[in-house]
Amino acid sequence: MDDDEKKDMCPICKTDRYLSPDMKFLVNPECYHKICESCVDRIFSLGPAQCPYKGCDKILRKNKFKTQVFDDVGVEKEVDIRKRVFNVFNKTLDDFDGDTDAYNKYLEDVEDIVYNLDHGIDVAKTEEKLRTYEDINKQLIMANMERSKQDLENFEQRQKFEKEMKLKKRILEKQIQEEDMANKEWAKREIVNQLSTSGDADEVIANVKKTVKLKKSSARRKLEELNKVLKNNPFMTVSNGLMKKKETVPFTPFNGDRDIHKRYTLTDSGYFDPFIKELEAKKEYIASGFRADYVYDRMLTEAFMGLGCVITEELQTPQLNSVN
Amino acid sequence: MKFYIDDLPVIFPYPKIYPEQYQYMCDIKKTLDAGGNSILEMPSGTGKTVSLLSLTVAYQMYYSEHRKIIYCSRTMSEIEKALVELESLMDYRAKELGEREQFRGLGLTSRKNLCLHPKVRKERKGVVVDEKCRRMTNGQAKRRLEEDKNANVELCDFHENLYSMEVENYVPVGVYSFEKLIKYCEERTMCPYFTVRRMISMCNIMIYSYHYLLDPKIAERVSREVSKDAIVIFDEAHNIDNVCIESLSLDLTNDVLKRAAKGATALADKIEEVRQVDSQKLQDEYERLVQGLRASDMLEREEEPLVESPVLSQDILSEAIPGNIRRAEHFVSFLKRFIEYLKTRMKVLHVISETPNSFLQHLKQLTFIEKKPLRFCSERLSLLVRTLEVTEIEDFTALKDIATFATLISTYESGFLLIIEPYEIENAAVPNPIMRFTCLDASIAMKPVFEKFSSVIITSGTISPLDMYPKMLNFETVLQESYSMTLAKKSFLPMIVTKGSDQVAISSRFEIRNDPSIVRNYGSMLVEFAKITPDGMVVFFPSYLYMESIISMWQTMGILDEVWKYKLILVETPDAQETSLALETYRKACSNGRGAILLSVARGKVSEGIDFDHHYGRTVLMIGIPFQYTESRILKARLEFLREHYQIRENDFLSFDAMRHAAQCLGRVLRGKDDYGVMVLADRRFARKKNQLPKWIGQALSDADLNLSTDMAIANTKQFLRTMAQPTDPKDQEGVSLWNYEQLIRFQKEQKRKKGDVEGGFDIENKGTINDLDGDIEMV
Repeated sequence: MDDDEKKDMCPICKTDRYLSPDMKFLVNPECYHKICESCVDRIFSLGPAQCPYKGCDKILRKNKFKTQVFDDVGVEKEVDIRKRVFNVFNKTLDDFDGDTDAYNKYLEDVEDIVYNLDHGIDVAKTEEKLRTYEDINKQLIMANMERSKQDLENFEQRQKFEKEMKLKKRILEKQIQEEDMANKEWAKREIVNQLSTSGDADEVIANVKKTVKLKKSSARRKLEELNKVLKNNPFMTVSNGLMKKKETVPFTPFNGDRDIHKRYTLTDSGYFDPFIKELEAKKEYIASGFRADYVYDRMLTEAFMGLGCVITEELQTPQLNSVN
Repeated sequence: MKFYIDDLPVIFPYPKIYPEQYQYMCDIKKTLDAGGNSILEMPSGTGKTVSLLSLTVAYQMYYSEHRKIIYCSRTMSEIEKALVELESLMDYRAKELGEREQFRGLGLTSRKNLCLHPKVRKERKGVVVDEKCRRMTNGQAKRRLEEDKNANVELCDFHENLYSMEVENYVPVGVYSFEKLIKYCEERTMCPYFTVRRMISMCNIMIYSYHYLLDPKIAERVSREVSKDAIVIFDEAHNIDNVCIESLSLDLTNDVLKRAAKGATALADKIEEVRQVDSQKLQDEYERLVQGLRASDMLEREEEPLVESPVLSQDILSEAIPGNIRRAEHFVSFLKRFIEYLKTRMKVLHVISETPNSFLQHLKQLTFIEKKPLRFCSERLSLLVRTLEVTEIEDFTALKDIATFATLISTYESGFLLIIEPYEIENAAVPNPIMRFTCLDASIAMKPVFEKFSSVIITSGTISPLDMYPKMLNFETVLQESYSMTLAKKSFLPMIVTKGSDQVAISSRFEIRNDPSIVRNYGSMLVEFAKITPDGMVVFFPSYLYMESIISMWQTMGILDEVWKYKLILVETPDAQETSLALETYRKACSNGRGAILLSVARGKVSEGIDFDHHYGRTVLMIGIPFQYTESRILKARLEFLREHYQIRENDFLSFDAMRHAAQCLGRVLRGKDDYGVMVLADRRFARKKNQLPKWIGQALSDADLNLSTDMAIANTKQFLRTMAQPTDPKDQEGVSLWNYEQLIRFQKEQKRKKGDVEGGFDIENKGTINDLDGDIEMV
């Protein structure tokens, strides 16, 4: 690292580390030629221009320049291509419903695409493949991108949470230790004090020990609580991702309309409710689509689905009845 | 002598036995019967090895299951010693029983120690020897020779000769120490290493180092044929948690990355070449990967993968290799991206420590490398290199390291940490970034051992406190015992010196260690002990840095000149050759009467392996408590991990670690019951740590000796040495610290009586003894 820095010399302006100590190098993904930042400013601020390297006649834009992450230019090029390809081909194992063979085939195809693009083999055909895949699976691509972003966020949140909890735990533990020591001191002093007044040594010592035990338990309880929180919460943040999935699928009782066997039949003669019967006669109601059958139907469905029925309450009422 | 423990006949190769040896053997038998694990602490110098071996061999031979024995030790010299002991035991057994049993015992060590090939064994580094050996002995070279008679490959004759013999006939039945084995194999041009490897399943007892059982890279190959009910013994196991941790840790530097990048480019070129010359090979490999075959299916039975899998076998996925690394070209570009990413991460300006998960997340964002393909990295690399039949990749070891790192970091989520340090040592001027991937959890590497084998015995001389190990290594024990030395008279004198003659407390605490008064106190203590100790004296310091600084201060104070008058001064250095030269000189000086002092470091080579028995070590002086370098990030991470998962406090662990090293140093000076020595612990902080010392040392440390000043300690030592110089009557020991056969039987009868056994008359123990009142019948 050190001697790389020493050899750094911008081939365009020929400044080196000695003349400008905080010189930084940028590369352009078009041709991956290394240029110092000041040269980039100077040459490309006025708009796109030709690459200043001898023999390279690519037109470069200023906003495409970036710092090189990897030492090896080849790897840098490959990773840029990979980024482009993976923005399109971003399926995961879940998309194949756990079929590892198909997933492996998919992975291999993607690798082939990246390899071809990197080595300039069949570029036109590969680009074509990329474009057609993108057009077909736009929805899926969007969804997967969302999901990977979500995963990243969850991961980082979980890390932060765990760190905080660990810190809190340590503070509590330290507190407990200090309390223990203080308790010991206090116990010693108390014993001596009480011995000066009362006579029975054993009794005095037993009493003091009891009070110490009571003192201890409060601090330990706090720690236990924190431990419980720690054990539960990491699972919560893990399942946060899962819970959110569950939220997107709404709850349908009885598997939606797959359970179409009604457990009741509505007879025509039906139920005599004077109020509803009256409404049936009124023109304003019938015209807007009101039918008495709907009322009875709905009431019966509610009853049979158990909506509005809280089991714990139901269990309590028979007891009350028996008391009565 | 032969006696019975319950119904098991034990043949012990000496006519007399120590009481603690008998206790030890009883407890081991209990563990083996119960089929669980145990931790046993047996004082050093009391014949631990012979009692272990005689009991386990008797157990194996008597009971019908014939459980095999695996005996693991630390260094090659210890393995050699154990093999020699075993040989003499088997000879004694043959004499006792009148017939030679069909018993095979072999030891395994690295290729470097066992290779006979003239060119390969000359290499200095073990890794190079391994590499060269592998190239000559894997099936590839042979296949090429078959295809093309004039191919430029070299085969190892010693290895090839093995194919002409049946495995059972490689070596005849018996126990072979390394010397004997090498001699035997040299006569018949056989390779000792492969002989032992292939005969593992036929041995009654295998003796090798911990790594062959714990390191995932070798453990599978070597120990897979061993059955579940085998008895596993870890000897000198006080450092076993460090061994477990090191086997799953890895360090990477810029140098490695550079060489790996070169290696990857070389691979890419080779692929190009093969693609043009003979693309069928690559196509075949690709097809088989598509079908879902794995390395274990594609390699032949005896063939070793060129890159061993660094993760435990239970963590290897059983799926097909992912699609994005199937083609050779894709895999190489994958490797290149990974290496470049590592290079960018190394360019940090401050220390970063992160979990494997966050590393993988960042890796994915930057290079689109996922976790799953990384897990197959080492396997894919070994397959690729095998297909390409590359004979000489110069930077292959670096690539291997990278592949190992990739596999490790993607397989394990918890219990590991990645630390990137820009400067290797603190306050260094030149940045030399190093990436350390450390395992924090010692139980990961031990888990397969505890899961597979039902009886594991962990034993050592200094393994206190005993309950730390089950916690750290996460296993349960059926028995935890610590034995004390039974002594007829006090044969060693431990003392804790907390102040100098001027009543100033002495300590090696970091803040005050360079205080002139403390240095002077240590110096005067050294001079006084040098004056009164006969022959040799060993001094242990907590670290090289401290040793150097204190020696230079002593030199300016003129203390070393004082010491020169009485003894020669020799120093241990980090260099192995210098240290062995110093040791030789030390031994010569001790033997011819000049007397010498050896200044060494508590965690160095000397304290781990060298014995200072009899006149080579009459006094051992521990200057300060040998704590580890507490500012090291790895240690801090490990402490935090222990606190969170096992609720072991940092101070407890550091103190435990320091005390086990101190105890290990103290134990160097006693080797047998007729040896005597003085053990001085010179630090104020030792006064509170008496209960962290092993039981046998703690018992001999009376309360009066806990808080001595230098002059009091000298007075005690003078008195002790004078007492020791009196000739002892061996009859004193009998019955107390040394039992002969009758005393042993009497003890057994006492035990039985205590248990309420009212069975008089003819029980098995009385079969051999008749009530002998005039003592003219010795033993059966």
